[in-house]
Amino acid sequence: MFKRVLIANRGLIQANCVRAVKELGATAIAVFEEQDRETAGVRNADEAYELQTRDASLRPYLDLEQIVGLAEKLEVDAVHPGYGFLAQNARFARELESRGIRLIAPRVDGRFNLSNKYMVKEAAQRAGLPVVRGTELFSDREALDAAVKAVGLPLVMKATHGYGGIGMRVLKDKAKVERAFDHIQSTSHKFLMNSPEVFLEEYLQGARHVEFPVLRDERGRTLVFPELECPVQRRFQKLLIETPAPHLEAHMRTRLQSEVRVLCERIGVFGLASVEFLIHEGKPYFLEINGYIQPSHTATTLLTGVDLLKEQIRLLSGESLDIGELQIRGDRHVIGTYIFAEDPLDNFAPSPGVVDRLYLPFGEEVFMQTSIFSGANISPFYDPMVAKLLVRGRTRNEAMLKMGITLDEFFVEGVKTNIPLMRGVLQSEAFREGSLTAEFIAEADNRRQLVDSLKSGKDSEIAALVAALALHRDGETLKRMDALVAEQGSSSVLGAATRWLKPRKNRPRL
Amino acid sequence: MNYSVHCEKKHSVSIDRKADLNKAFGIAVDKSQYTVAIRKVQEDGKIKTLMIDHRVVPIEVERRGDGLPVRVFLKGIPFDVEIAKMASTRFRPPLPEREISGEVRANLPGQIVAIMVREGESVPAGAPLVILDAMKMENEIMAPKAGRVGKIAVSRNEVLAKGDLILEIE
Repeated sequence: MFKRVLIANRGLIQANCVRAVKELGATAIAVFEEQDRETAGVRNADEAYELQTRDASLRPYLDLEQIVGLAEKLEVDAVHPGYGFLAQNARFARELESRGIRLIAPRVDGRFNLSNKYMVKEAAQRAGLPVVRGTELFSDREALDAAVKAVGLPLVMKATHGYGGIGMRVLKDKAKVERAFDHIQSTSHKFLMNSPEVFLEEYLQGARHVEFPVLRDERGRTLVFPELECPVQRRFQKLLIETPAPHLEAHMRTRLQSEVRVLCERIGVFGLASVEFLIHEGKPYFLEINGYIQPSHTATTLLTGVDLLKEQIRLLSGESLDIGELQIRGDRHVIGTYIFAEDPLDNFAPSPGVVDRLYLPFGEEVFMQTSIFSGANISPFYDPMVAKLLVRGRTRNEAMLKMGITLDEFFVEGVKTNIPLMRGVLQSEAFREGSLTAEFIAEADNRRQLVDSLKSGKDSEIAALVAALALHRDGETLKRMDALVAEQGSSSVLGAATRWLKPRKNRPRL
Repeated sequence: MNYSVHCEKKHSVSIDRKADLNKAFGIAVDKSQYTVAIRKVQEDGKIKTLMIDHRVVPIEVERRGDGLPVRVFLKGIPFDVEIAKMASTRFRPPLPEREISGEVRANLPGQIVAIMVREGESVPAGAPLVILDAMKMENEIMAPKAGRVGKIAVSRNEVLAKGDLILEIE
């Protein structure tokens, strides 16, 4: 095992890596920028070092030189990149390797590069997996027109090296193609620090996403986990996951698991990876291999009891896979929701700020991982995921019911969150049937409807009551209203209320 | 005290003037009778938690400039409210100001990544002015009304707090 592991990330994944590294008996080293100094990962780390903001246009967690320099100085033997930030950055990997530091990311046969989506797609096609129809790579604007014509609209534009929705756009409208092209090229440079090449693919309307986590050791022992499905996404980021996928037939699962095995052998994956498929009109299409740990892996851990994050670190240190066949119980279903500080009713606009109040849900088979607390300041600079909430039930129905109640109990004040939206999703017929798609959530009207579906007739009475009572107790506003009434010369019934509302001395504190 | 509150439909809310706010008291909304107790208030006296018919209800109230409530959140679900009338006076609360301000401010904290207009340039309403990068998203800030771009108060890569002035449309 490694002795000292530096975690080059923040938030939930930082805290989870710190936990896993400590469990493995190594020293967990966190790095952080000033605003993050009170977060769980920093608190729980064995050692924590503050990063300097050297350049206003470069967030410290993306400051490759600084992090590599620190890793070298601190004599770490491995760096865990988490997801996002430098997780997919080829230069980061090279700089660390040249200093004898291992990056905890899957390794593949030298002929392949896992973060190159296009190359992986080609390899999958050659291994006999079905892939989505699309173009070859290009980076010239001149080639754009012909490529769009060849694929047809709607289409998906992808940067060669993208992750988590960055460097990817669904385009339905020809007028937006050029702008998207420029945007993807500039974000590729900024967030991924990678090549600006793109390729286009046919957009499969209404497709479902399933992915299979895989652990594979240096000797080629392979464990393919049951699939995760993420029917609810926003901008290609998951909002809800479940495992196993509802309504996936057993023969399809077996077929895809064996294709995953073939592909991983073909490209010589070693470590942890997730192989993603689209299922469109009953047919599967290979989509990509993700080489980084993902928030959804926690759901797999709950389903199978295998700690994927810990195994990932262990395998990359050169140890071998010592888990036999997976004992998958048929009577387990896991649902997870990701809670973001953003407003789904305002096009998912980020809602940074201070958390005034936080009430966490509670109970058997309810699992919460959160980085926030009362008084926590949610930074405007990063992906605003603030919590992962998972439940486990004996059946899908039980898990859905549990998740609905759990979300209802989860209260966050001070920032807006997608909790109401997720409650609406959980009780929708479409979700129950398994017919909910990412496109459905992408429509603002549908989101509004899902949230409105939670309101009962009594709720509008309660809201009216709350508004009236809030005003009734607000002496200052009433006084101002009173003055206005006096000006207008009407008889003041308000006066009585205003006097009555003046704070009484010795009134006991509520 | 009677309040007429518009929330999805018109509701008549009646709060007993003699109610002792330290104990549970009755509030009538239309034909329903609720028993309400105040459970938690913040330092300035604003209510944070109510007990309504023996159920705990954490509440959030958004107010407009003159203090009148405009939105109530129940478990994060927004309800637009409008105090239409109070008691039996002919008094109607004043409407909020209608004139659109030309001041363009950062609606959230972030970093300016592009400035798309020049000082003195004429822009139509809705024209993109700057791109503010916040939480991994590029947010286009648009002109609130048509006019001429006055002094631009920010520069590229500048980090802004929520509410910082970006520029003014004259």
